[in-house]
Amino acid sequence: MASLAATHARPRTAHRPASGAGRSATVRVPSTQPLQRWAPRPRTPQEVLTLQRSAGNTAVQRALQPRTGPGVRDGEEVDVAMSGPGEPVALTDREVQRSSTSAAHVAVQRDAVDDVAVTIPRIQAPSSPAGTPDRIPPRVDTSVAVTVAGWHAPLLPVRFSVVGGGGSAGNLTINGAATADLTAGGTLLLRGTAQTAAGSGGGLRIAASIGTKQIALSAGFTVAAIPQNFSVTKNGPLTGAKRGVVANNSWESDSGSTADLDEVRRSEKVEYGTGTGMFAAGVAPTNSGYRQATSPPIQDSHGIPTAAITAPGAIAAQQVFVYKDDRTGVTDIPVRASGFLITRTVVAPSAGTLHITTEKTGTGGTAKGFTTTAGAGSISEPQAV
Amino acid sequence: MSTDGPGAPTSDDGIALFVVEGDVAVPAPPEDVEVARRYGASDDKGEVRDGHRITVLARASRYAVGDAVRVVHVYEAVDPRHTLYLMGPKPVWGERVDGALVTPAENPQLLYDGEIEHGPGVDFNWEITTYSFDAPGRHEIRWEIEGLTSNTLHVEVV
Repeated sequence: MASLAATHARPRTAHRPASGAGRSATVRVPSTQPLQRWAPRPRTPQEVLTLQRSAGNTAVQRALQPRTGPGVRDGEEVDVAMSGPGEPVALTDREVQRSSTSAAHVAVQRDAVDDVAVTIPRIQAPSSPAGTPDRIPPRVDTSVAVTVAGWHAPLLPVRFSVVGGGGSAGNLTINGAATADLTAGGTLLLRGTAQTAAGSGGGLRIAASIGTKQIALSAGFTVAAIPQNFSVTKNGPLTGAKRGVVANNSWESDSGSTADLDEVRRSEKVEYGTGTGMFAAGVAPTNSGYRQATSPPIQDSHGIPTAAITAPGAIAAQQVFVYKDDRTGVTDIPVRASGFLITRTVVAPSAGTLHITTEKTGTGGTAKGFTTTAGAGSISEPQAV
Repeated sequence: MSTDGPGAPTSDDGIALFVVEGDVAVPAPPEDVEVARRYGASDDKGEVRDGHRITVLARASRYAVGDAVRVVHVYEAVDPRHTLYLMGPKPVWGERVDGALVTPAENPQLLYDGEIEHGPGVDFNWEITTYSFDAPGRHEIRWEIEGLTSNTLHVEVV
């Protein structure tokens, strides 16, 4: 106790609640008045505030380390009051309020949880195409930048946790654990550990809390893998009654495992541009129904009946893959990096001779209203007719 | 669309059929899907020729005058030599009602760009054709493409 006088011989601030939990007002205390050893004597309100930290009947320099126990409510630490020498009494909110005007109570300090502001952005993996509901994939980390403002010691750290996890909602870890504590803004690494069941999307949230008081809550999101990054390699030529090429189309899951795409279906859209020569009449767009997405590669055929190749001409078509996902509940979302340009060029190198070249090249574009970036790879098949 | 094997007339996501609205493929009405689902157990299929066959299906054999007779088309590759062209719904050609050609005689699609699978498998991804009759009587619907002839649908209009 001998050190108290020297320690307190400087301006200090006492926080006193104005009304209700977490609200505080600031009272300046004299800078020159040294603290005295506690003694059961009449006190002025100023003195009470000066002796803001107490343990039993003895003032101490700082007693804000405990974070649990009877002195803590809703993450806010509340001192004990002195109803008489050596008799600590836990304060109620009403007593806290009264303490500012009554010399009969030792003042309290409540840490201002409500002054802490936390922002949690949408929980959306960067691999999500436009139109995708908030989601993260399983197996890999998704970085989420959160902000924490107004935190100060001795508040409890801001604890980030998963709300709604488990069962059909799916689940995830935060920085590899169930919870993560921050005292300032930072990055959380969210990793899906169980995918959301079909039809149960959007039930997961990230909460930020101090003690039992929730500060912020994210929008709902889903753990769901989606396809991305289509690529093409050459399978072989079409011969006999047809000319063209068969391509191997492959894709990835943004989780790293296409087995995770078991609630995803894919469809392809093809739209033709204006043709020339023998293709001038144009070709109607086509598409496929939705098909499973767990077993790439698939074979794409790009053919024309040999008998139909009658004159020079050229035509190009844009191909775009789209997906539907029963976990997030979306349909017709363009797959990221799934665009290809399919071209056919018929030339007559000599009289009575026709050659056709069929090419497929990763190219971004739009087909039937669906737009994506370029897939990977390029194949070409030149053939005599 | 195809299935993992003959007799299961739905795609793996349970959507059995698509129809074209504008230039967009949308799931077919449930009644059509139900008709397609009968394919596996149906005794009335087209004759297998050279490892593949085509079949036409309808909801009923008796209709009232003016009712829509919706015809579902099925291509089945019984052996792996044949290819299933899964884009579509593809236009139907070579269909006859009471012997008269009522669709284009030849495949109107010059180009094919899209997914294929090798047989065995079933492709339901054809357009659904619709007919109605304005007088009572008996009618026959049959589909003929690329050397294959379907079963014959016998429709009685009352």
